[in-house]
Amino acid sequence: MKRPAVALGGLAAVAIPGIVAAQDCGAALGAGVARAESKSYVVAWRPEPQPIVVSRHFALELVVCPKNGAPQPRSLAVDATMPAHRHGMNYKPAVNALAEGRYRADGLMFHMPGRWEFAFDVAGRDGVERVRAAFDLQ
Amino acid sequence: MAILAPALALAIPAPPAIAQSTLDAAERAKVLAHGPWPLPWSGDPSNRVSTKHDAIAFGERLFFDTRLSQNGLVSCAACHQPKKTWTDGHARAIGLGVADRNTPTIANVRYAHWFGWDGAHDSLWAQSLRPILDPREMGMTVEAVAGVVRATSMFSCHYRKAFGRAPPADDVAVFVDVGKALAAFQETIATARTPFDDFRDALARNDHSAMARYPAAALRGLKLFVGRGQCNVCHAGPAFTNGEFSDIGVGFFVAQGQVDAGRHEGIRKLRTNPFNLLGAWNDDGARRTATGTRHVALEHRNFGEFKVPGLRSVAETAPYMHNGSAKTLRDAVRHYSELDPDRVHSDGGQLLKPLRFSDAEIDDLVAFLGTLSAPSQDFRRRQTVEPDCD
Repeated sequence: MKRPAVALGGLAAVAIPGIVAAQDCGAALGAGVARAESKSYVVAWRPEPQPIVVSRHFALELVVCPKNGAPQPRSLAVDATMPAHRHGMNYKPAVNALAEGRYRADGLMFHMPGRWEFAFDVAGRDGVERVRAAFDLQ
Repeated sequence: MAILAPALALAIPAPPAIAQSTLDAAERAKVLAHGPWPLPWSGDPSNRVSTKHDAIAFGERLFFDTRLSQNGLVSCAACHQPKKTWTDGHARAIGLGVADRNTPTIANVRYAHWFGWDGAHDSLWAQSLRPILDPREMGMTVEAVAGVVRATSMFSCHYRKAFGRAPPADDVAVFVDVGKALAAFQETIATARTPFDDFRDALARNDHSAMARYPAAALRGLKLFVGRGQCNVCHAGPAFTNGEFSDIGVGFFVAQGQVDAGRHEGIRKLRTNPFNLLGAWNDDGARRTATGTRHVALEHRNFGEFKVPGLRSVAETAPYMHNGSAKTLRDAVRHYSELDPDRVHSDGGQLLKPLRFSDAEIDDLVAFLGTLSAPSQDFRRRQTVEPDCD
């Protein structure tokens, strides 16, 4: 079942460059990397430390990959909310740019188990594009 | 055969406890998240004498000594009484006067990352200094505390053993070290394993016969706790607290025209406290435990939020809530059952709703909470004080 999927990915990469970026974005972050994308960007991230634990601070190592001809991001903001509870974190993360497309966000904490939603706001040429990703915390 | 059938019924043990111990996968995962217990703990890097034997002994002396109060009659142990699970049984703490808040237990306080009902302190040692200065609690000054330590041969001897030097001339330095010794002692106070822990560990290893020993009412209460009640969302993890803050609709008027703003004021105090973990008194140059202080957000919804207390030994720490307004555990559970959502200040949060528990369900929840207590937790003062320190 896996082989056709790989072949399809390769074909798709030829036709749509953005798909390759989505698959490879942040590969250097190593094990535990997760990805989400919007129209113009793929965001890959890896928590530090892993796994994320209730009420324990964590950081995110992030890579933002442009796709569909989008420019490199100018900046990145990171936040997270619990949509079902209509609240966010009790902490405001600080994001530092490490290199082109690479960032580190410090100061995150998920203080409740349940569904959280990351919000990565990528500032590009035409404004801010939000990349969302759900995360279930036991 | 008509005679034999009843005989068989008597001979075969009834299996109701095993049947009732069936938890679905989601419930099982939530229950397992409340352990194992005890949690590992390796000391507080912001306190250079954390886990040090001599500092613990000094801290214990200070904790039970009344000379750190203005009138010489109040010690830390006046409110944090070992025989009352380190609380005092009063709705609001009584020292030199009556304070605004209930005395929380200090059992398991080493696992916290915020301290006090409002989290105005980010370390146990900084928190330990607050009641010494509060005019309604111990009513001292920084200079008076340092003077007592320097002038009392037993204290100065213990100080020397704990910190490797005589009490310095700097009053603030001595005062902060008093907090660090008090913290070193309090860090040793942790609750033992409980019937719940035995059940939880049996669940982890699928030991059905051990699980069956857990009382049926407690198990029903546990299922409510992690199920319809969603209590585990805030009372999360092995210590049954997420260590953070919530507005649960308990009144916050402390006197006519006066309100207790809770976490909102706590964050403001934290930021201006010279003893916070971003300041010079943090013994950890890397500031490893200061992440929360650095990033905590002050928001409107913090108004009226108070610390989510841990629930281990909760059955022994009545009365409840930040102002002691719930006299019994049953009253505390009933609060959530009859909660008025209009009294909850939040930015549209939907977590808290009146749960409308039946009397039987409240009984079950109380039965479950009772299994978070260890059978016996007597505290004995250390007998290891060196003769030359007396």
